[in-house]
Amino acid sequence: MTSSFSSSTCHTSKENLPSLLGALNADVLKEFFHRCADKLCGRKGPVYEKFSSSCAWSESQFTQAVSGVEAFLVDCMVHNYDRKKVEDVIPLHESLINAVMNIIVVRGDELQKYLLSLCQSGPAEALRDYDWKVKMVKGSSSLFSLEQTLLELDLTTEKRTSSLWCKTEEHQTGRIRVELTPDNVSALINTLERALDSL
Amino acid sequence: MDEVDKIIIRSLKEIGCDIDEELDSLRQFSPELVVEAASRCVEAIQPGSGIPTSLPPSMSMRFRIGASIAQACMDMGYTGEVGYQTFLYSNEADLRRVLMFLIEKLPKEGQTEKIVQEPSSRAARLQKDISATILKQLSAPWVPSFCKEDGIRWHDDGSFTVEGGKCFNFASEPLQTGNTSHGCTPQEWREYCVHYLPLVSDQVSAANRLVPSLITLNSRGILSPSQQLSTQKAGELRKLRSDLLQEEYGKFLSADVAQKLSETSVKLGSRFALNERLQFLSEKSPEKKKQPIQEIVPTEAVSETSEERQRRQEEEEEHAVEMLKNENEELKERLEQLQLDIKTLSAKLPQVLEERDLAERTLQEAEVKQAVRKKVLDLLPDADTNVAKLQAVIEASTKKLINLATQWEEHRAPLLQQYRNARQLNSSKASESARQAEALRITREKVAELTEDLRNKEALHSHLQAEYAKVSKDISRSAYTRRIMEIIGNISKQKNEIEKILKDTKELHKEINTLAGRLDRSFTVADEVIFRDAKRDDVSRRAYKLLATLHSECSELVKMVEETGACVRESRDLEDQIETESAKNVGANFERISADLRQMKQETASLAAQLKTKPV
Repeated sequence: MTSSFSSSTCHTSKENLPSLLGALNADVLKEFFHRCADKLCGRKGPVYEKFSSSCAWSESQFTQAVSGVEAFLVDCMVHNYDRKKVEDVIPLHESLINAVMNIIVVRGDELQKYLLSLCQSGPAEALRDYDWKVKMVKGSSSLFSLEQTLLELDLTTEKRTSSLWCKTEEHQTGRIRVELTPDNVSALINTLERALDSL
Repeated sequence: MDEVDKIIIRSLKEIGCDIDEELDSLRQFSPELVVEAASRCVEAIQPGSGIPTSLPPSMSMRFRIGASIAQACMDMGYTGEVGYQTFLYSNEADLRRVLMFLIEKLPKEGQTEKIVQEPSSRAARLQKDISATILKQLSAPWVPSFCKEDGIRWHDDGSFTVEGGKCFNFASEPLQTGNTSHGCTPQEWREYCVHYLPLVSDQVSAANRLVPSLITLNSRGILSPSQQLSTQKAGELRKLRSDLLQEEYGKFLSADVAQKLSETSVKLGSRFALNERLQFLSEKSPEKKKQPIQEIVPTEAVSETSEERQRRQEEEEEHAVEMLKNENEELKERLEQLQLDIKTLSAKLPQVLEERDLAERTLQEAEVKQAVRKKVLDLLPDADTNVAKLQAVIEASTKKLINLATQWEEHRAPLLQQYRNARQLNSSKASESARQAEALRITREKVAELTEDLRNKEALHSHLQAEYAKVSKDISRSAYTRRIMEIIGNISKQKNEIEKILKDTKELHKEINTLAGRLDRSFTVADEVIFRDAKRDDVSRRAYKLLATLHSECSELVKMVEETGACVRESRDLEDQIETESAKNVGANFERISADLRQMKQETASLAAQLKTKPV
């Protein structure tokens, strides 16, 4: 299912994956897989400069390997691969397979949780973060003393345009900025609390 | 004079002089202390005068300091006699006069300190601070942005304000700190955390996201504390999540595909179109690639002229482009056709599904009917016995039903009772909790009220303390006033006495005058009478002579008495003078002055020696 919907680069890189990964030793492989899992979980991914010394990849091979491993990890999580299936997909030396299995066990929970959250947010715009500032308006050109308190609320939203599973820089971040008076703020909080209760 | 000295010492202590508690009179002041007191007074009256408060060892410097203090006093309008000797070789009375003058000149507290009513509430203080900061920023001159590092602008008084500068958005990223629950053995997890988990500072993509990410992580941890699950439970949870993930993934993909299909533009970004295109390309490309190669090979063999070759090549290329275009058109048409088909088919799909559901339902109904009919037909041949059997069965089932109903009732009654009891208990509990919630609310309100009260009281307390600090000074003031009133009373009493004495003296004078007049008159009369008789009588002549001598002797006597009085007065004056001179303790001062002079001579000599030894 995945392979038919992944983009073509993933498709080809996955075929090359065994030959690319076969050249690594178990420690470097572990490190590489962990960094790819980090990238899937929304953190900083692997950096070519770090791996260029320990592996003989060119930069394009490196990118291929990254996307291939990502697609592989997604498949693992979705279809709950066991050891045999992993061996089928990437036929490697036993020590390397052990390393891969270890990573799947260790990072499984985290990856599952993150992928689920991605699925549930869907293709629509979703709130990712928020920031706030309190402002005090001392006066205006017409009023000497206004003394109005305002809350500036910044909502950072994220919208994934396509290909969620092969994460290339394809999510757009947006920013919604609103200024609220104390009454607005309490109304907003009440609405959110009601929404939370109804869940 | 003790009273005056005490006032002076107190005032000097207030302006910061380090005066020993035991000292209570100006007589006990050392020259160092005198100089310190005077210079502090001058500094308080004229800030920035720059007179040192301690005496240096060098004698000439000491004289200079003394002279400068004296000059400052004269500049301030001191009319009495003042010089370096007043401070260095002090005598009590002069010193007292100078210090009293200086203390009178000291700035009064009431003049410098305006009584400012501190705003009590925090909001008011905040607003005041904001106003002050804005005022400061507005009054400060403009400074280019490159002079303000990170938008921070330093003011002269050491404070700073933020003007502009870079301000990062609060954007967080998910962090892994290694303490969340996990589905593997502790050893594996430990190995991951020790060897492969990067530091949180390396996990974020930009340094300015670290703090927001940590704040978000902490608040998430507070909102939903992670719990350590047993391995079995964790496994179950994992399985559940995996199933859910599969399901969601399927949904997501179908949604994604539907979205792509709805985009009717001929964009080849759609995955279906992309796949198809790839498929067709792979089918056609081998032929396409072979064709030109086959054609190119013979041309080279014939070895035509280069122009012709080029022309032919161009023609071939054009031909190939034409073919590709045609192909492209075809593909496009086919794609559109296919998309249309997909659309019509997907539109039809729900209808067809519905029809199928309907058909299945009717089929099931018909099957049920058919089964009943078949049973009836089976029973029909031996109708009577079967009817009897059926009736028996019916009776048995009725009995069973009744039996069951009674049993049900038996069970139902206690259960119902139990249910009612439980409901009552529940409602009582609910009312109890409502009451407690109400009590809690009341307590909270009370707490808020008390806090407000406490804040008010604290504000009042600080206010009263400030007032108390002011009042404590007033106590000495009232003491002074009382003392002044006493002194005034004493003075008026003394004045009365003096007036009385003056009156007595005047009366005495008058009496003396009258007595002297009478004496003169009686002497003149006596003189005339005796002189008249003296012309004729010898005895009278002798008496006259005796009278004349008596008179001259007596007047001499009176003169002597007057002279004695003058002498006594003079001696008293002299005694006073001696007293004042001795108060100046000239002897000691003279010794000190001569010692200082010797020291100065030594200093001068050493300086001269230095000057000589110094090569020109």
